[in-house]
Amino acid sequence: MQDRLLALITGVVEELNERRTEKIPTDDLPGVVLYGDEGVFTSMHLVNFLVRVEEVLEDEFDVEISLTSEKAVSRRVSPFSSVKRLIGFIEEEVRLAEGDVDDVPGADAVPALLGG
Amino acid sequence: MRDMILGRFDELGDRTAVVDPVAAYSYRDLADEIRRLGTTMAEHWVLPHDVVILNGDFSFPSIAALLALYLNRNVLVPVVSLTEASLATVTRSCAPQHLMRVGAGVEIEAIPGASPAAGTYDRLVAAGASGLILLSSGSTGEPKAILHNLDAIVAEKLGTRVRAAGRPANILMFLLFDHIGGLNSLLGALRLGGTAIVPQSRTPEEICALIERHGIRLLPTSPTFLNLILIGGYHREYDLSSLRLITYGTEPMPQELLARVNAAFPKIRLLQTFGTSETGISTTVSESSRSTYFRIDDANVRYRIVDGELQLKSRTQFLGYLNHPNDVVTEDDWFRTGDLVEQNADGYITVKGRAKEVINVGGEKVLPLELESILLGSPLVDDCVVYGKPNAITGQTVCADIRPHGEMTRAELRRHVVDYLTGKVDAFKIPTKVNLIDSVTVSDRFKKKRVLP
Repeated sequence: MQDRLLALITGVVEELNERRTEKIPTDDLPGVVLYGDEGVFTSMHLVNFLVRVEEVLEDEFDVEISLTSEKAVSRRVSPFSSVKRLIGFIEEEVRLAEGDVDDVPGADAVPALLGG
Repeated sequence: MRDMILGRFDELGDRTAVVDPVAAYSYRDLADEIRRLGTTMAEHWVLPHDVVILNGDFSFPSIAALLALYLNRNVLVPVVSLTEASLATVTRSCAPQHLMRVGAGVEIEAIPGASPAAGTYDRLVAAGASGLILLSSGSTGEPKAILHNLDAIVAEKLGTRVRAAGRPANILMFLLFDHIGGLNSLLGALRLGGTAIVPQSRTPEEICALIERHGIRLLPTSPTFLNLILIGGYHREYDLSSLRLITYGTEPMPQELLARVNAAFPKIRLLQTFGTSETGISTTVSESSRSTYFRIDDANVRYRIVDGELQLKSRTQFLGYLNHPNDVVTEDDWFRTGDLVEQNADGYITVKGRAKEVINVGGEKVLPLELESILLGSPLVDDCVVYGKPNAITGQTVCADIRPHGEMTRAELRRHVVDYLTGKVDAFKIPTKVNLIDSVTVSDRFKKKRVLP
């Protein structure tokens, strides 16, 4: 999964690079700092980037996850400190989202239980 | 005014007052039906100042019922679609005593147990006036119940008699029966001794077909609906050459859409109307058919602009909300419209958007209307709606739902949007997220539905 995520993120970065004068190096993308003192993005560009990643995740994995949530922002180790950390965070979120689907009882079972 | 109405209708006699999907009715028919309903109401103990829900859309019987309730000095609550939720709101906030259902005829039933809180309608009773309660189309929460003095509105709109020269005007009852704009259209038609044409449904096709069939001259409508006509190409399918004037209101007009409308209807005058459920509809003058700038030219209404927001004071101003704090009225009795406006050197104003719809991207403000207007300038965009979405990094981001012109993938559309807007607007205004949609969601009052940030 990590390789697949890295490929997706690389695609997004390459697309963004088309419009950037200061290109983001893609040869060692996992090590690239996204936000902060050494970061390649301003806050606004970071949101842009994350929303694009959300979009490709939706297209590729058919899951809707938020990378700009309070949860992402308030992590002790920020998922925006490097692409590698972001990939780790996405993996967790994708698993959670997929797990959620399994955990939800059949929608019609709920009223039946209540009624019974 | 009250005593004159029936006499005036009698005088107009055979002239057509209402054409609804069932039949055409003369002013004499209307006067007779109002008198007949007056008797029926008395039989059902509908007493002056009782609160009555009037359930129905525009039709000959509903128009007659509205006028009969006015003449009987009732407080009427028009509701087009009475759902359990809207009935609960009305019962809780207005304490209605009767329900009049208008179908093919009019049925009256008593609502047991309701009695208004002491003092609610005192001002109307003291003035010997009828009342009107409009339910707001608020996007969130319970609709606001807006109480008006109906005598004041009728006096304002029917007070001055107009001798219409030549053929009396056919006016399309496009706006809904329970909307201030709908009431305004109806009173406008009656004032001119004109004909109120009632549509069966309000699809763009049906409306265009009606314009052709009845040679309608005045179409009061909304920008969103005009765009639906253009997108569907119905203005080319039907002969709309009878139209002399299109008035648009209920929501701001994007400049680019106005340009499209002008191109489609080069010979028709376009006039922006402006009003609120709280202050009534004002008479306005557009700077030109091509301009979204307008002037409020109405002896009934004064306006001022405070911190960019338009505030109004009118003789037809509401008496208050029945179920909501009246915090939209300033201490000196001006109504805060919530509309952000700009005034040009000649004193004309234009609406830039709703204060509550402003998107805040990391402290930078974005007005959805500005972006929508620019996007509509693209030949690849049929329609769009811009709104803010919360995030934990910049507070909000800009999202755009777009109906493209022709087949496009989301990626192609996003690329086009970014290309098209780059250089035209500040970078922070460029939508972070672009969604592809089949159609913009339109409220039952023909306004674009925009998610609030």
